[in-house]
Amino acid sequence: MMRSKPTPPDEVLPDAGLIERARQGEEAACSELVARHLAPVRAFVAMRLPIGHVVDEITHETFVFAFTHLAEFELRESFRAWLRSIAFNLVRRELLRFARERQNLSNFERLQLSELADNADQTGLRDEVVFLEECMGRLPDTMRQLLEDRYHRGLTGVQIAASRGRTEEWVRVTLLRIRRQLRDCIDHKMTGGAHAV
Amino acid sequence: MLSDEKLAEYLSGVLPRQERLQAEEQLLSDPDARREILNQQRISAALKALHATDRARMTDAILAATRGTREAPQVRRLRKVRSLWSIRALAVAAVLVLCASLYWLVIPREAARVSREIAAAWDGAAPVAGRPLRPGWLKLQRGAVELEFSGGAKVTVEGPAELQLISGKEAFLRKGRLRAMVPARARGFTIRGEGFAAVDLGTEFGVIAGDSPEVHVFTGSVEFRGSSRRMLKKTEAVRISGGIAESIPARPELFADAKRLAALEIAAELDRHSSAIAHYDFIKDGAHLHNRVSGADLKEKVVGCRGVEGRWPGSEALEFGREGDHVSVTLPDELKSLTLLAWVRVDRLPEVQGSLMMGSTELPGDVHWYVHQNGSVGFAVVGEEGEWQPLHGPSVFHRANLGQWRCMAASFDGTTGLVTHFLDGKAIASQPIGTRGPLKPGIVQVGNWALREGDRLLASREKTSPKDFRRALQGRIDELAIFSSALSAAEIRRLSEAGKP
Repeated sequence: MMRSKPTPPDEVLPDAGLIERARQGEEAACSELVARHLAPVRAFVAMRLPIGHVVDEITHETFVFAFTHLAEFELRESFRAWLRSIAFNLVRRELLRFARERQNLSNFERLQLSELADNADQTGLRDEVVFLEECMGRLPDTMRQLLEDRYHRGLTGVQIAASRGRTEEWVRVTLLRIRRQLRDCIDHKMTGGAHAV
Repeated sequence: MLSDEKLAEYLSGVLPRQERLQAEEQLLSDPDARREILNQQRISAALKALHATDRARMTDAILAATRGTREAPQVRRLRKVRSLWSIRALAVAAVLVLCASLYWLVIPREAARVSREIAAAWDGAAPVAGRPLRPGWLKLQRGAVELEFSGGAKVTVEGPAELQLISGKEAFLRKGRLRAMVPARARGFTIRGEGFAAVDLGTEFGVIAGDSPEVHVFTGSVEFRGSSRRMLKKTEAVRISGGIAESIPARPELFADAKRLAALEIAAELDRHSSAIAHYDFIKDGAHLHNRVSGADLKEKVVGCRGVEGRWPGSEALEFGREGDHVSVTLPDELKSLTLLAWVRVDRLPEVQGSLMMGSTELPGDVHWYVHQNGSVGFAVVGEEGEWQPLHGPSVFHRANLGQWRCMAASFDGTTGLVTHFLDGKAIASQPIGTRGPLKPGIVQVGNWALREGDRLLASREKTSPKDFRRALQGRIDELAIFSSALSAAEIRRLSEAGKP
């Protein structure tokens, strides 16, 4: 069955009122805006520059920039899209900085870095995170539970293997295949097709 | 193409070093496999981000970084008003110009002069020392100034502070703290704050602005005018909380005195040291830190880190200890020698190591400076063969002396490979290590370490235990200086003694 392309949820969130209150300096409004957009913005950054501490730094910087330039934001626009554009610029700046300042990379790391930059340019502002969340929602429960154990509960491969009576290798390979499935599902959705995970 | 099993091992970082290097060699000519790895890393990082449990910490850090700096929308609104009411606005402007002219004719031309300036940085135009200052705002970002009011009072202001000069006998303190010395001829000199005024009756007193402003009297007496009036005598002070003034003991040490100003002078000298490449006083400016060394083009970023009281009463420092708290600094590509000097308060011994400053390449030339779990201080450089070459000092931190501000320094002399550790100005360990550099620390983290479990993209690591990645310093730092030379013991002793609170 063909599905229509979903509307990104941020387009319908009533952020405008919160932004007005945040502009008046109301901290609770800022806090609510962070609560709404932190995870997707963080994931948006992670998809372009998958290095843990850099993801956190750029996400932090994105919100700091947004809150100190709220007066420039047009209320008619999507706040999340605005955050994405700020984050995207910061990611590109960071990639350039990495390329310029990391002198002692191996050939492989250098190649990876350049491919990462190409990928960021190609992906641009597209929000794959919406699709990632949808694709996760379609995974079978057992697979979702595995992701939950690894990424939410932070369990190690050894711990997950022990709790399921499996080998560590099984955990590693299964996680790899789930991630691959998610990637395929996202790609399919990005091109507007239907997909069964 | 690598098998799924091999690929999973590679991504999990469990491949032995030699096998990993072989796999990477193979990957150089396999774009599909590289794309697969990149996609795996991207999805994995996004899943981590979506499932992260540290949202409250991140939110706190963002709100703390923007508190007081969020813009109000007036700029945009004014623009719209101007387009709608341009003719009326022009008429109003004409009246304002006229009023301004009258203002300059009527208002006294001089309220005060800057008589001494120590490493002062201003928000807006910097006043010229010795020149008359008309009534208006002075916004001091950092450093200290002494002002001589035309009425005779002498006021020391330490940044960050915002002071409005009203006349030669009166000023309004909106932010920061000041100490006023008022001779008999300037009796009646007044410092106003939000909801109160301190009127001098021949004295020396201090005022702190803020949510709970305070007035402290050191000698003589002051008339305090708030919701009620009262006389404050020597050693007495009040704090206004919720509109009510409560009595507290006066604390002269909260206000800049000669010792503090001397320390600021030495710190300013340090900014001009020929080999200084960075000097931070850890006053958080959003997500940034100001490098006091002019012309140094380093990049600094503060992530997390609560702003807390520093080693001087009322001064600022950054607190480290929560996962992710750090300051990142991009150092020059290559350094032959190095000295690191910091004022640090170790509150708890670390689980493994507490980073004072750590690079993350783990390649030859990478540098780690840290407090060790046994209370010693370590300085280590990755040698040419990829092996850490450390020097640990004796154990100096133990339960009884935690929570105290200490001057810590380490120097590395690239000509001899000699590393020396200093504590409170004294050398506590000195020995050559097995490398003469050059040092290539790259992007370093102060108070933490960039690597996290699972970060493998740009780093070559074999370790996998989460404990291997915990390097958060448990404590505070309020000053850090970095030099591209090995400072002498005498220089370090002088900096330590002058900076001691």
